[in-house]
This record gives sequence, C-alpha cells and structure tokens, in this order.
Amino acid sequence: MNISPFRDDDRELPEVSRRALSATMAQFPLLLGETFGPSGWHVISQQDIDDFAGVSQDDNPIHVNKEFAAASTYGQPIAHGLLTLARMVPMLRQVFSITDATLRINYGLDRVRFPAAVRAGDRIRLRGEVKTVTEVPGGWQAVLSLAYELENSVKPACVADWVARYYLEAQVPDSR
Amino acid sequence: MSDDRSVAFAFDELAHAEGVTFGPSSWRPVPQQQIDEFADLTGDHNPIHVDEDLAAASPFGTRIAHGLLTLSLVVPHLKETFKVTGSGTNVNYGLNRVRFPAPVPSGSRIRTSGRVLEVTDLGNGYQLVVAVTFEVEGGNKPVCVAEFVFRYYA
Repeated sequence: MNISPFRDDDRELPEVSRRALSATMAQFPLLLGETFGPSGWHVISQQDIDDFAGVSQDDNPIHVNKEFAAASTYGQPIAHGLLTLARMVPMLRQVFSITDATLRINYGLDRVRFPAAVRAGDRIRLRGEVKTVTEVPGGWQAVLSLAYELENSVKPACVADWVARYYLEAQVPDSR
Repeated sequence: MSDDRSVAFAFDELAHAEGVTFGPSSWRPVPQQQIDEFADLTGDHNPIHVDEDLAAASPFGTRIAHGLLTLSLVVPHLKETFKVTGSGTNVNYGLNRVRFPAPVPSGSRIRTSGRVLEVTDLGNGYQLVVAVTFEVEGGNKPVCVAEFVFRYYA
C-alpha cells in the first residue's frame, strides 16, 4: 500500500495533509480504516446541471429555471443531488486507487444525504475513509465513507457510504 | 385522478400517502447514447460502460448502464406513476439503502414500481421515504432497489 501526498495545481493546502491511497488487490485488507483526500476542487457548472437534466430527464425547475430558482430558498439554480454524487469517480481517482483491479463495480450505497445545496459554479472536493473491507468471491468489497466538501460551506454537499467491489480477474460471480 | 398503476396527490394529501403503492411504470429504454452521455457528464468512463469490445469479453457480455444512471432515471418513471401537484419546491434529500443486484444491459428497457414507506410532516412540507424497485425487461431479479428520501415544500 502506498500513501503519498496528492498533488494538483491547487496548492492552498499543505501537501502533507492530502492523502492519495493506492494499493494492490493483495494489499486490500491493509486499507481498512485508512483515510484519503481531499481531492482537488471540482466545479459543477450550470452547463453540467443542464446536461444532467437532459440525460436524467429531471427538469425540476429548481435545477434549470433561473427565475424559479431565484425565487426559491436557494436563490439560484442548484445541482441535482445525484449529479453531485455521481461526480465521485474523477475525484476518487485522484486519491484512491486499486492499481491492479481489472473491474470495479458500484454495488450500492448506504445512507446518502445532501446537507448543503450546490449552486451552479460552486466547487466540491472529496475526502473519505475505508469503513469496511470484506472478501467476496473473486474480489474485495469496501465500504467507503465519502464526504463531498463544498467550498465556503461548513456543511458538506453530500455524505455517502459507497459499496464498491473490485475484481482481479474479469470473473464476476453470477450471484452478485 | 388515479388508475391502477399511477397515483396522484395534491400537496396536502401527502400527509396520508404512507403505504401507498404505485407502478409498474411503462418500459423505457436505456440506450447506449444515454450511457455515453452519462459517462461524459460524470467522468466515469469505466470500460464496462463505454468500451464495446472490453465489455463483450467481460462477465456481462455487453456494455451496461452506470448504476447511478439507472438510479437517476427514477424521475421520468415517477413522473408517470407518482404525481404531486401544488407543491412549491421538491428536492431529493437523500437515499437510504441502495443496491444494484443485476446489471442493466445497454439498450434494454427498465420500469419501476414503488411504495411510500414513511411520511414525516416537516411543518413547511413533507418528507417521504419511497422504496423503488427497478426491473429490466426479461430479467429475473431487480436491477436496482432504492429508498429515496424526497422532500416536498409548500
């Protein structure tokens, strides 16, 4: 297992406080309890929100209608919670990797909440902890407790326990 | 107006929604183009979703939808089967347990059915915990089971 400072163009944090975890499948049990992140900042734009509304067909005016959103408690359009949640992948890639896994599966989620609204143009970043590690046929399951920090907000944009499965060989048992 | 598969509530009627079941919705396809767009939008280009050749050699035999795409498609399905009129703002407040027991092959069709598990009066609105089961056409187990926490404000 390798714990290294995560580097990107945003140098506001001392590098030592940023943890990028990487491990092989053989090292998977060592990940238990380890923390990772924060990732680099990641912008969610109105274009992203509009595109997500298109793909998901969720055109709730709180996301896509400026006038409606301006009159709401949020004051401006906000991102779909599931858009924020789904942005885990590029952020997670920066700070958590299983180097020799050939297949990664989103097996599910446990409690997910969206405590603070993400307004168009806001920046988020990801940090997390490996909450559980379990051997499953052909691979490993980890529950990653993720917190999506929102810039200039005490409350996070999202907290979620993500159940991920990693496989070494492309042999996912039928019983998944 | 309700038929045997869809339910509709005026805002104040949400107080009595507990236990109500709805669906199944109509079958709706999940085309590869939608999967590609979701991959671009989320930055999740896992080859199992977007690489035809690699996915063909995988245990799934074909490209599959992102679990979170399936989950996101709850909205058009609910628009058909679970309607709330007269609320001001409604938001997705969170999710409880979510599992993806089976994959959604690219190009297959899915539908949903659901049940309102719990209603909480928030004073200025209602919080509903709604259990939704997603099935794929021809499948023998659900592709997603999820508990959504929705909030409807006056």
